[in-house]
Amino acid sequence: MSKALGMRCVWSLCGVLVSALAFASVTRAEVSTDVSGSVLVFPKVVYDIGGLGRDTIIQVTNTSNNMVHAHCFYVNGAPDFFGNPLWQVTDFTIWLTRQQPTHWVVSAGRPVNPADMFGTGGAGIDPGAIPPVPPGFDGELKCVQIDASGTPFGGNNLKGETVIRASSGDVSKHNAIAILANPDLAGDAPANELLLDNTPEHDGEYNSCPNQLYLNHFVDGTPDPVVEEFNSANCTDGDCPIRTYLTLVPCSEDFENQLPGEVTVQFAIVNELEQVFSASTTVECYETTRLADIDAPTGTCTVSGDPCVSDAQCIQGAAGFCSKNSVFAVGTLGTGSAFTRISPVALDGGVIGVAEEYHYLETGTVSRAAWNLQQAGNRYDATVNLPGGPVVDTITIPENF
Amino acid sequence: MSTKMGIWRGALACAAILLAVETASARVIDPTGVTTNESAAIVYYPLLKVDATDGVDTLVQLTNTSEFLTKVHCFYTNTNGHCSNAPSTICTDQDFRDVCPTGGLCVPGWQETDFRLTLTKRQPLSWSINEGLSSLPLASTPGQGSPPQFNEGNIPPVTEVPFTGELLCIQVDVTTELPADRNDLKGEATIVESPAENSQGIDASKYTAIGIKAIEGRQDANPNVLNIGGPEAEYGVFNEFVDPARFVGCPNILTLNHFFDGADVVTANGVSEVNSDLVLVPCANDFLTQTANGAPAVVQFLVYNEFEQRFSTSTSVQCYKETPLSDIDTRPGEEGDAFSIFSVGVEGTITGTSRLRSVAGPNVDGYDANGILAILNETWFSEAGGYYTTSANVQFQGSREQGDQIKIPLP
Repeated sequence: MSKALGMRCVWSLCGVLVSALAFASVTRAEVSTDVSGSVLVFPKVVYDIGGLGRDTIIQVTNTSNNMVHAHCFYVNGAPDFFGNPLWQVTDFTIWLTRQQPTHWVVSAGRPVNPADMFGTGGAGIDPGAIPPVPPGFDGELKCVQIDASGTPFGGNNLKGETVIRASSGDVSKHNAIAILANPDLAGDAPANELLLDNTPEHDGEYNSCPNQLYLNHFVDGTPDPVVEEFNSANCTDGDCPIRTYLTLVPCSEDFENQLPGEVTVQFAIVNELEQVFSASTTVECYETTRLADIDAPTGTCTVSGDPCVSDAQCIQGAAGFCSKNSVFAVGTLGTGSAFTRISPVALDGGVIGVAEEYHYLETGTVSRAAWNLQQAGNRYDATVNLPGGPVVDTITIPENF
Repeated sequence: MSTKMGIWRGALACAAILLAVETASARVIDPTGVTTNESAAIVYYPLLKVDATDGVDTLVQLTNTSEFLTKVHCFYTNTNGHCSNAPSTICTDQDFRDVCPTGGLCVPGWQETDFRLTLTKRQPLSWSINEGLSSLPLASTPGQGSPPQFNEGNIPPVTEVPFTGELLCIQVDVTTELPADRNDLKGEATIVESPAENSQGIDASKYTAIGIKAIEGRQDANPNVLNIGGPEAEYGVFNEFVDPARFVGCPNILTLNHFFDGADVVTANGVSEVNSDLVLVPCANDFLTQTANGAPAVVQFLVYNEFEQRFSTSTSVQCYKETPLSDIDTRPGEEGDAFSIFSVGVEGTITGTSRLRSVAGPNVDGYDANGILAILNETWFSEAGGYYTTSANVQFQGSREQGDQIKIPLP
């Protein structure tokens, strides 16, 4: 073989392999609701004994053929006396055998009871003692896959779902958000600090949080077209609004030092006429809000014209619904639907979340439907070239002792 | 420098480059070519419903997430079945004995209607499939950009009511109307039921459209055949964890967590009995020759309960299948449901997990994957007698060597 031919072969081979790896580098890093992961985030868990009377059913499954352990944290973000999130954390551990699904109702937890009758809620291999949450709980559940010693483990074997059931029997379901781990690096010292810095451009422990969240939604207060179409008697003067409630949680959380994450997010809203509006808010620990509440704390009841802060106030007084002058409201946007991009500012960390739609009849009867948000990019790569960057979201779990 | 030394130095330099590239590429585990988390070139709404009698309609949302004018080619598929001896009567496998004249069978349907429209910069659209959109918002009013963009096209209503079916939208080039290699579409579907005779009733369920990602620069000279994964992949994502590394398309396995049929779920605020419907659609579609996807795909189920006990069953899907879980292994209808492996009485636990694998074909041309996609629909019957539904996207696992093809008519 001549030298030129030999070199050409080597460089050709090199080129092919580099191309292959370059393609590999464009495979997407994910915080995903499509596949199983090593950290599961259930962003919206509620147990409300008054008002809407809602309770939550959690489903978790081990998607592997090995035993899987997970360290789970309930974070109560319900407001305290001053309106700030409580940020109370309760943790527990579960064990799942191969491919085992399990579930529990958060108001009851799941005690270990081998005598549970077949076909009842406790039947099955108990995954461990799962505590109940207190009444009024409004927060998130986070489960981190660990090994038998309690060290975080990047197996990517957990999937989950949440069903929220109201006292009327109405239900809404969404998938848990899975943060995938890089199996080679997850659990690196310090093991209790989970760095969300794995991206297509950077080898890290866990996949980085999204740089933007995408939300398609009906604008606040738009009359439900199906009710108008088939049940117009319950939509006099278009008073059968659709509301969207958004729940956001910061990707960074410090369970060791009890430090909640705090992220300021910007909203860019585009209506069907391509007009752009914006708003912003700060998420501390946990935020669940009607979209219109983000920029309009007060409004007026549609029927009585009385001042209000929430729909419940108007519905209780048979005064219609609480209409607000918000950039998310139909009065401002003027079209039936909108597309909102949610972006953390500057060097703030990422957020993840879920949306829930409320479809009202004129009488105040409501049905809800939850769905997962979409995403674009990741916080690490988006901030790597900024002064002070990159942003590395970190979940710090308590050290073993 | 000798020839051998030159080759070795070249190889060494190459290794260094490879090492650098490898370090820069993050490990992402076994991706599939479909997603509900990101915008994509193809968006698939597997379940749409209209029923005027029960006050049911579906609100479809479709958004262009990019700042560029985008064109979309969409296909409604009407999957209503009709009685063999009364072609105007709509039926299902569950009710044909009641609705068809004696001796009639329910013949599955698969009729597509297509339409095109443009979406301007980051523009969202929503419409009721029973009513369509005869005029798009920016049909005559200019958008905000410079130069301003306009909407073209309109959206027809579905062709038959009651309607059960699906919607598939493909991003195409604005000028040529051939499939484009951009990933700018996202969508959702909301099924709302609000019958007039039950004036207090409303029920809503929502899911995210399933996206299939286009691969930049891979569109070939045969634009009416869209290759999802497989040897000539135009759609999918690169999977470095398979041997050989390749672009992959539809998932190998679908995983769904579900309640077993008939399960009584007790919460602090009451009890509901839960039953689930599964909607299965093939990744492959032939809108060109309307052959309803040829031979049916066989779908194998592995079902695990909370005791880690494993059960299995199978069914087949030709072009569309919406079925109660309990009817997968028993006769259609309620008869025999209590004996199904999806019944709480058989399984003994409230929840389970099912793994669905469609059986791939013989790999004649690399496009015999028989891939499937799915949506889970749960019905929760309350103590008061009413019911509420909720939908959930099914998760994905792994990839397969073969691909699927969508065949479309060209403009």
